[in-house]
Amino acid sequence: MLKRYKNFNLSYRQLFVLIIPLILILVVYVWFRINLPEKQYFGSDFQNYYNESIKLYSGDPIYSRILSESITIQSSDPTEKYATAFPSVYIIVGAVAVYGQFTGKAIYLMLQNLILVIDFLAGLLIFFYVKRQSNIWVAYTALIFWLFNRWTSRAYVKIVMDPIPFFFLLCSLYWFESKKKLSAGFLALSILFKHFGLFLIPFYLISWYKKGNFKEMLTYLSIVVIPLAITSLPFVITDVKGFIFSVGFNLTRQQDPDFHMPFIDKIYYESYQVNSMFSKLMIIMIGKLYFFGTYTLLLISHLVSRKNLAGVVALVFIWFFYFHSVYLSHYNIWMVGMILFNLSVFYNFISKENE
Amino acid sequence: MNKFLLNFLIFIFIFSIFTWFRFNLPAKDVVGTDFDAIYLESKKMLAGEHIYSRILTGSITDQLAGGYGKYPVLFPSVYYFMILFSNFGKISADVLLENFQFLIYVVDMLTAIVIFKLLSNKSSTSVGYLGVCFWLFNRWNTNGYYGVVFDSVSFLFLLISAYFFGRKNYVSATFLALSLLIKHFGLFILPIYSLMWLKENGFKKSLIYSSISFFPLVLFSVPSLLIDSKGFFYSIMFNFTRNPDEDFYLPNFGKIAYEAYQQESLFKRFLMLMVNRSYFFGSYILIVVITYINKIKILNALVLVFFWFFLFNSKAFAQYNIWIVGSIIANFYLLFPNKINS
Repeated sequence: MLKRYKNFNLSYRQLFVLIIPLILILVVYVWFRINLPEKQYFGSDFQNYYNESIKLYSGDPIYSRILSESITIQSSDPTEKYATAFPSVYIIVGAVAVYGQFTGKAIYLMLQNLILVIDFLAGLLIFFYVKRQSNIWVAYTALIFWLFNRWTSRAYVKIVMDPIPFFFLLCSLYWFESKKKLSAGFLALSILFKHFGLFLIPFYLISWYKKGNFKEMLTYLSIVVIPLAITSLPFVITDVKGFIFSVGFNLTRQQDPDFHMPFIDKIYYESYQVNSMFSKLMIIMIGKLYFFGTYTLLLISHLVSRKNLAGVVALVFIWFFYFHSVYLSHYNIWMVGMILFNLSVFYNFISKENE
Repeated sequence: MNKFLLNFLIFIFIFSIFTWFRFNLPAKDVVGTDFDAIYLESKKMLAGEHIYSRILTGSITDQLAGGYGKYPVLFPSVYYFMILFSNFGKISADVLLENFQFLIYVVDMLTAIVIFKLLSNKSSTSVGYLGVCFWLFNRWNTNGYYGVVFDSVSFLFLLISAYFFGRKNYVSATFLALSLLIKHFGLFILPIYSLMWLKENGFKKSLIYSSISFFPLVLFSVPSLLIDSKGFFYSIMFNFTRNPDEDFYLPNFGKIAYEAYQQESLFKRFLMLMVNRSYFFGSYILIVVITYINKIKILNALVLVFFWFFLFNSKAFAQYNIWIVGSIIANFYLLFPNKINS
């Protein structure tokens, strides 16, 4: 036992200072989460995942529906919503439901417990990363802010999947310097659950290239892309158009009422006037130039300057929060988590990767 | 080419696009806006009505939607300013709205210049321009202009205050006071300012600087406090007692709120609702303490305080995002640590 502590390079006092508050925080956290109001399964986003998964396993082409409907508006009824996640999500949920013989509600409750655990694990990663970069008090603040903030609590109550891919992203960033293949593997897992990680691939590529060479970069890229390609391939082959429009729905959907841009209404109006779906898409993408333009700006800044990847990933989520035309509450988990992961920089501690 | 001239030309270019962008946004109707509510309250105030008393006969958790039914929740200075502009300038609400919209457009450009100055000093000009673009064109700031909310004006003063903090403390304190007069968000940063002044300048000077920041707010509030201190207190505190967003969850929150409704005494009701806020204030104390013991810069403290607010406040209005967005951008240099390392 003593040897293990030595391996962690911790004295008994340090261990006490570290472990006791963590256990205390865990107890309060579990009490806090378990006492949150109960959420109804019916009408939740998860119900949509479950329904689509069942349809997928019974052979329905889940991505085709959008082709006969609108690419800007979807029904608010969860049973009518488009399948916008990558196939991996439906494959996993469907496998649990079909082979485990679980009902949607049972999986829903299991998922809530999973989110409870995942959030704490993500909190530990944030804690250890911040502690490594700064000091233990800032690390505790980050941990407490992560576990008890309104956005992660909301995700737990409403059972949105985002904490799971976010946790994988944190793992990817945590081991980015020391275990690059493992890091790439975690990024792949994150993307399989939620496509936010797609925005990060170019930034990862630049960092891999800067720290290694072209061949290494390709190896890591293939680790990220292959799982996604394998799970998506059957859908791309059977209905490439439906797949692209469904997965890309978040980019074509109607903007929030409080999102204002010059001529945005006109652009959407023009898009309704054309019959061809491709022309419609092209017109809507003009309205997205602003979104992609600012993204390119960020990409260039990463290319020309020296930054740690965790910092740049935080910037990507900040960019998304600033410029995306649809703002859903569960997006906040990504931005909030990444700012907390980088909390040390606000306390004037500079990332070790930059030293 | 001269560096100043180059920056000047780039700024002209960015501001031209910005002007086109802002002036081509859809037109805004004044009716039902927050601005309209402020305008109406200022008219009532001028007519001698005790605007802060209304909450005492209404609810401290709910208010009517739209411009007409809302409580006056801002400090009196805002309504005095509005009286000054509307009454003595003989300007109607519609015209005033356009004037304020133009003011916000100018203020946003000024803020962009301050952000550029901060970022280019601490990092590089390219990071400065990234910050400028992110500030001028982001959706929350655009929404602030569109909805004519005063947050960006107050934020500019706060940013200038942070810029001068430590170097010209009198100037810093004055700008903090100006920020507070327009929107009370600065009150959350005031304890950190005071603690840092105390640490760096001793008790006496700290007291002077803190007084400069706080005194104008008190001065403007004295008449309302004398007329109806209870109504004033509950109106200003309404943001803490009001019902939370539908997607804000806390253990036993509903139970405590329900018990609060059962109380006849307004004060007891208020105290019970404050119990629900212990989570909010507890996390605030944590951020103040950690910020203080780590001796961080005031500019960095801004982002931490507004970030805390974003994480723990039970209401998430779009205009609040201006504060978090702006303070993050002003701290962009931390995520681009070029000069720090060298």
